Amino acid sequence: MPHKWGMAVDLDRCTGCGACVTACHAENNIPTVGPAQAARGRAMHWLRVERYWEGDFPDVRLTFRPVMCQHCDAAPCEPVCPTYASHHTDEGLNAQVYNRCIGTRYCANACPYSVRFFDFFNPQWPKPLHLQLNPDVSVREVGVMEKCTFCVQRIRAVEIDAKAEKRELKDGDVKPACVQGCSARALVFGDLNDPESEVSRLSRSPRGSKLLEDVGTLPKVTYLERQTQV
Amino acid sequence: MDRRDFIKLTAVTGTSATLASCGNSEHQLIRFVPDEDLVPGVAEWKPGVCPLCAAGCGLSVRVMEADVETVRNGQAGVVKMGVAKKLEGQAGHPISQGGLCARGQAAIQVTYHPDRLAHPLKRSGARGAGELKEVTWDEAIAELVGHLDALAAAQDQKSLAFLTRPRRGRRLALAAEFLNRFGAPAPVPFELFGEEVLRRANAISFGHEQLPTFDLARSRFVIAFGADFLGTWNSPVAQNAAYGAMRQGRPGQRGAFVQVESRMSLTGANADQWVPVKPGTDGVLALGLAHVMLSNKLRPADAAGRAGAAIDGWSGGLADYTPARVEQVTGVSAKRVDRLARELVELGPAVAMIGGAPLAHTNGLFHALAVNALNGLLGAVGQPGGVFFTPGFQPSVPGPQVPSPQALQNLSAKVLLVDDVNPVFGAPKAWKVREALAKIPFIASFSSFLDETSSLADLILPDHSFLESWVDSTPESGALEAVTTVAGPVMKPLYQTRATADVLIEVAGKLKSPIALPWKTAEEVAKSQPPAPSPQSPPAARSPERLALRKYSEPVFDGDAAQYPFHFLPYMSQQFGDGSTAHLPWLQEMPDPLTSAMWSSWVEINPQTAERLEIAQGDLVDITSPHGVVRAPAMIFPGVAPDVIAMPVGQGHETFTRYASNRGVNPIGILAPATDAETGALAWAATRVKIARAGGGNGSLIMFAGEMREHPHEHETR
Amino acid sequence: MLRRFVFLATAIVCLISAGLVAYEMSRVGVHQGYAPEQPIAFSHKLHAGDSRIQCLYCHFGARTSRHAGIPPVNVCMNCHGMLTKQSVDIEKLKELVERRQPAQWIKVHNLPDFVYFNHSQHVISGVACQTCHGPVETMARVRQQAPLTMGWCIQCHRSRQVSDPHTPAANLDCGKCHY
Repeated sequence: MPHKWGMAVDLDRCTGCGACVTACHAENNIPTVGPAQAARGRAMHWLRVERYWEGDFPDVRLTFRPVMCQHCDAAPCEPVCPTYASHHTDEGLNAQVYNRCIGTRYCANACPYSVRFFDFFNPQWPKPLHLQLNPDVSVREVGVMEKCTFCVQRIRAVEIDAKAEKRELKDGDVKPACVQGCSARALVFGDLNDPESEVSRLSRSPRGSKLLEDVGTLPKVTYLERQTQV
Repeated sequence: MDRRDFIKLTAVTGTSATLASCGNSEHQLIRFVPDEDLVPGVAEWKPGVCPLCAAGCGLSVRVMEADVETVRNGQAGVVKMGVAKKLEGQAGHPISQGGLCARGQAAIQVTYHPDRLAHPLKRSGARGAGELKEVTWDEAIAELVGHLDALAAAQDQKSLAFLTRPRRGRRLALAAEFLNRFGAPAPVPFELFGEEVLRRANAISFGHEQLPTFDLARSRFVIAFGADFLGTWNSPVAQNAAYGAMRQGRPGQRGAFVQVESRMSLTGANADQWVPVKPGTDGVLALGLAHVMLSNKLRPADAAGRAGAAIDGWSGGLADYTPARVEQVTGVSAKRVDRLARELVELGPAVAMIGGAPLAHTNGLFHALAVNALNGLLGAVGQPGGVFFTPGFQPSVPGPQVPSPQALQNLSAKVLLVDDVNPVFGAPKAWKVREALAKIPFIASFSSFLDETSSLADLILPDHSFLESWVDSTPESGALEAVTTVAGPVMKPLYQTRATADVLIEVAGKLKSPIALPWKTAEEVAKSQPPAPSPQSPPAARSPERLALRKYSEPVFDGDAAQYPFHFLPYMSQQFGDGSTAHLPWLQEMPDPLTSAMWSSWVEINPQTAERLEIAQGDLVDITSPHGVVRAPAMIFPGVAPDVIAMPVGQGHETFTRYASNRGVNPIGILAPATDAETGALAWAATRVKIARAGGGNGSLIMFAGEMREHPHEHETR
Repeated sequence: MLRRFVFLATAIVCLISAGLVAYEMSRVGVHQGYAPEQPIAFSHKLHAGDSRIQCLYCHFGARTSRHAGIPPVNVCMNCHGMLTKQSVDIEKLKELVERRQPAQWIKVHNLPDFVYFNHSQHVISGVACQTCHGPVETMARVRQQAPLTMGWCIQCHRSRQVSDPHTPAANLDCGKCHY
């Protein structure tokens, strides 16, 4: 049975520290666009931390929620793509094939989670910042759409190694950069087709829910609700 | 598109006129033979230590082959070498435990920063004018040696000063040894958000002049006074890991968490109960909780031991701290005080922590002692789920680790060495550090960047980056066991830089009367062990007469309350800490977790206050203290008390690379030079300000636009 | 009549040239047959063909890495340090070694950045080097035999879909190579 990659985010562990945001930049060659373009709403963060304020001072409450591509099983971004650049892989990922993408941006319009980002420019890495670029990830050029890949390069690297060593993947072998960097262990990644995996166990939690569940996108990211003091 | 494609395309389109101009410069560069064996495309993981804060997180560095433009023997060329690609927390390291904070993730950009200094520089124009010329290492070292020899010849060795960041591992030990044998005073440490108050309090209460470590993973109830322990305070990565375990690591048992502060920090946002208090009164609440426990006999009074004995009125049941009085002083209702105290006892093991703003008042030490006493009463000291002191910790240099402001103001040195510290940016303007430096005839800096302090230097001897040199760290907190991390260089130096330890050793040997140091290389320094810890004999234990009884005295604020109606709270930012990482583009573009602001400064104002003063989000606001004024865009912030104005520290650099120069404003500038009465540490939360709308927004407040068009709550109610 | 002829002729010329341009454009980035002159006239025919040195002896990276790698000159010296035979090109090589300079080989087979290719995967799956690189052991100067286009990759991946338990099936999923 093929893998079905998914994630669980425990909002009771998440502290909103933002380490995942920077880890994602470091892993995926995501460009910094600078203040002028950021002010025009063109900053790229495949993973962002959303915040929800409730109440007024002094009874204020703030909850964080890391939001990345939800890798929906019924992804609204896929059917709208005229070139099949937005594409569902056999392991359930919503892949973005950059060399197919012609930049119509229909997918970004269709995505209810606003997790797709358009390259308005060729990325700039003043030397020697380019030395940090991850050689396992394409550097996207102007005119294509990009988004969270669940760090497919890490999934592939582990799969290729396992195949070479003729072994099966174990739960926890694959860790996207955000999951790896999370010190509070709020993010858990794994195979949803393995009922024993930690991510499957957490996804069955009574605290779990999907983001905008009623839109019917069937996301593969489960959010475990933040608890209150009893 | 490569050259072949270009030729083809031009042939197709028939335009070959531009062909001549198409030369790939990289092909013209000389290639050097690589001097290390790496299989291209295969990553190697090497250990490292994060240098950005004192927590000392162990790193795993992904190293892969890349083409690097370099200079070898004066010739420019390209070499294939292993370069760092990604920093990760080292699995199994007692502090980082595989995780890393946002700043740690971005630390790699320190090495690859396009404005990093690549070779020694000597000032050629007026001081601070930025006119610098490249010199060789031999010239640079000869220059420094010359100035030191001149001091020695004039029998004026005392006029050498060394300014540094506190507790920088063995490298500081080397500097201290160098100064000692030269005959100069000990290094002067400087840190804006220093922890001297807490160290002193812990020495008095527990006999450990050291920052505490919390066993949160086993706590069931945590109450924190101002400590942003999930964001920037103490050892955030280790504390985040423990926090996650406290919340969801034990099946069926979730730890509760209360945060006490006047502006909601990242940590406060995670609390089950967020309790705002009036600034400078935290200790009163802590003793109010103790009062409820004592008067209801929930805990025995003698449980607090020496920590309790340091508090005036402890043996009498803290009669001055009744819930009613606490409500009057702190603004926390008497009912809530009573309930909190009972919860702390019932839901044990419980622990209290204090850090940050409460200690930065003129009565800061009292608050720390009060929380220590509360911890003693709760039985939290050295117990599972409580507070610990990492055993065997020895500071690199004995004595106070954070200077009194006088030490900086009275730098009457003739030669000043500056190592990885930027007091011109990080000290209140009222301290007049810039003026003090202007009077020093010769300043040498080991900085890798031109910042406000190093740009005043006469000579810059740029250090290697932490990935290019031997690094070590012995953190004073963060783990229940003693931790020392030593790591070798993970990559060859990119530039003509040198490890500061090596430079000091070379200078020592080249002096007219050479200094014999116990180390020969930076590697030896990093690998050397600190002297065996002597049995703990803290100052308080040695001199019992210092165990004076402390009681609450009202905090003194700088500025008249009628004229300056708001408390001013600068806070360490999640991205930039004290401002030392503002030059990293990833951190500039990282949305602030509480506001989503990027590339900006802002001032946080309570919605009611803003409405009263007719200030809208993004409007420019003048924040005026008796010591100056800054102008920043307004951020309407629900989590700040109506009489408090908060601002993140980190932006507002005059000179700090292309990414941070002239970006935003520096709130430290308008701070009063107030100090904690007993320790003399800077009371950075003791300034009052007034605010006024200065005009509409000018676009300087940049916020991340990405968010969902519909919010989950809206869907759930349907 | 003449006007109609001129119109037709122009239309045909335009169509043909448009077709030619379109065809040529579609071949941009395709370098089949590319055989640049190298700084040292290294002969694969002599080494891999006549002397039967295994490909993986010099291109050792292909076993473990995504890159096969061009061997550093010291790999050449493993043998040439002991062999007495001399030629102009061996002299060039030895001079480089003495001057501590690498040979500046010109890359022949090049894939664009947007595709991930891993040599070790293919070597482990038992794909012979010659399947993609052609009969290198007969080439005095290396030439790009295959077009290295996606259609060409896919053709092979399709034919290997027959599941033979010993050779892992090749994948056709976009996301396996493009990320």
